[in-house]
Amino acid sequence: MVTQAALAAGNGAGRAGADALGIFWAVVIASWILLFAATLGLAVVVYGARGRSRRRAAAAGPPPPRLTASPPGLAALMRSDAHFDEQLLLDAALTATLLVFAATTTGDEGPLRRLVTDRFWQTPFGQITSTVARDRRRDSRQAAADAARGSVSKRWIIPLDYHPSVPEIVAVDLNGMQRVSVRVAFGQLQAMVRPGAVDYAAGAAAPNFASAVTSIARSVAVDVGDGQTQAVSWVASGGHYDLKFVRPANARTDPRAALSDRTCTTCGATYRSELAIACAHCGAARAMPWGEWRLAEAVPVR
Amino acid sequence: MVVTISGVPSLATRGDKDTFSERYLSASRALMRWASPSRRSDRPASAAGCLNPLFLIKIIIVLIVILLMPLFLLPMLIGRLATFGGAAVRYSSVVDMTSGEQARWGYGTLSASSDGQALRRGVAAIAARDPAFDPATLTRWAATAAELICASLTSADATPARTFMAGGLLRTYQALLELRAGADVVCEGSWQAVNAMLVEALSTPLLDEVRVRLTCQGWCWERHGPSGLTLRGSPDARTWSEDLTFGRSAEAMSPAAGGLPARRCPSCGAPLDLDEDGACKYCGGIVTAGRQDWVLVGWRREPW
Repeated sequence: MVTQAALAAGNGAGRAGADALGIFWAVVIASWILLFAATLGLAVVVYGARGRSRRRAAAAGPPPPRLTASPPGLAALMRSDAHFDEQLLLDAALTATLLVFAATTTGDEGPLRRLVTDRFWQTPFGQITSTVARDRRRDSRQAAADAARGSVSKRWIIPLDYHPSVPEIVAVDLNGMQRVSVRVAFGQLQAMVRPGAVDYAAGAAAPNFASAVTSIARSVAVDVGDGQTQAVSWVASGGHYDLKFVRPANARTDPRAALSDRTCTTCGATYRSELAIACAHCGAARAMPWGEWRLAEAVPVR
Repeated sequence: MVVTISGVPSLATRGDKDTFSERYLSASRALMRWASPSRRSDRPASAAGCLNPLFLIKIIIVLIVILLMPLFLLPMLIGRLATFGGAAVRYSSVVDMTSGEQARWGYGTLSASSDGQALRRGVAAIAARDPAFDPATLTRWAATAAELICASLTSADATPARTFMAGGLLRTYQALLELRAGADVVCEGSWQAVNAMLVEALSTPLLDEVRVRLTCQGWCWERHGPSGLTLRGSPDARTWSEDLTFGRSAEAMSPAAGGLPARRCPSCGAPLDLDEDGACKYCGGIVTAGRQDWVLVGWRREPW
């Protein structure tokens, strides 16, 4: 009797164990299927949309021509702000595009954050800038961790070149906040140094799903293979944008501001770096030559 | 903490927080490293390889991690898709990207020259407003500027470009040199302009603009310090073209003393001597703003 009960309990426990194992495997298999489906769907959506947008871009024709007259509202802005300096705003536009390049290459958003509004980070351009910069910082942390373990990182993304066009003010709106749109085009070139660099770069700029899968698979194969042979490849990007700058309705230009960013306003020390956001001598925050103007949005021009 | 280009830890860097799934992935990677058979040769033989009982436990743990990974990757994928997928699609629609040789040889392609008639019309329009305008002065100055750019690039120092580059362009140029130096880009070379010609002239109610195309001869070689790999160019002599675009305000007139091309302050005519802010040490005028004289507002080299 006792033996039969023990056997029954043993069988029950065995069945329960088998059931649990079956559920475990079902969950594992279902999750892998879901993962593949989600990955495939994500890739198809992203690369499909990228391909469509590129075809649209290719059909859009040449870049917009230069303006031959002052945009409406610029004269009113100059009347209301006796010290308004158009050149400073154009300089701010050039600086903003360079700082986006710096942030997405090095991961340091600090200099860019000084020049943009909080709202900028909610825009598509701001979100992507932030995401790419964050990925770069993760890479840096990983490289630092590897270095601490004694292994030298063999992967670099190198800012190689950057060319802006001559910017121009294309629109002024003085209703409520003061808004000025500055049109600028820029191109940037990065070099990638790592094992499988050619395929890695091709994956980053792949125009469609098939080429993305092929490139990424090849780069992974190189990583899994010897993973030691360094190679170099390049990624170039660029476009035409309207940079929308804003400042409060009652803000006016401080004529001293234009000269305030070369030397520290607190201790008088000279800034040695164009990217410095604080004085290396006394730590005071660096003033900005364009006063209260901030970049709120970057909208592509097609 | 990550070292930042701005010299201080940025708020963004300090505030970085990994999501649960990202932390999970980092932990998984660490686990994989821990479970990988050691390649260190200084360990005793008994501590490495399949004979170590710990190795079996490691293998089992790694297998469980691999099996369950989708459970953690899925929320991350869906979250990323929801948060950034749309933005990524929009971004890819606004940024034209190329890679590999196409990027290497497609980046920096020079714009076409104006046709002869448009060029003559542009020059005449500028001369009508400024009778002292002399295109030859600008082409000679462009050749000099190319030599100063050579000195600047090879020394990774923007100082030689201060006397002819517009303030905004100089700011970005200096920042680019800093970024390149931070990434251990080594630029060597020696070149000079052997020919210069006007290829575009534009006069609008707002500004005057002139583009000069230089034919340069020499060599330029960019390498990556740590890896020693060539990034662009070579130590071999070659010929290439560069476009230098000069601009000035529509109200500006050629200074009587010669202005910046003659290395004189366009405001007071004194020999050019600038302070840290780019202002003339004699009269305090900001000479590279383009209000009184031509300044370099754009520089581009064809793929090389």
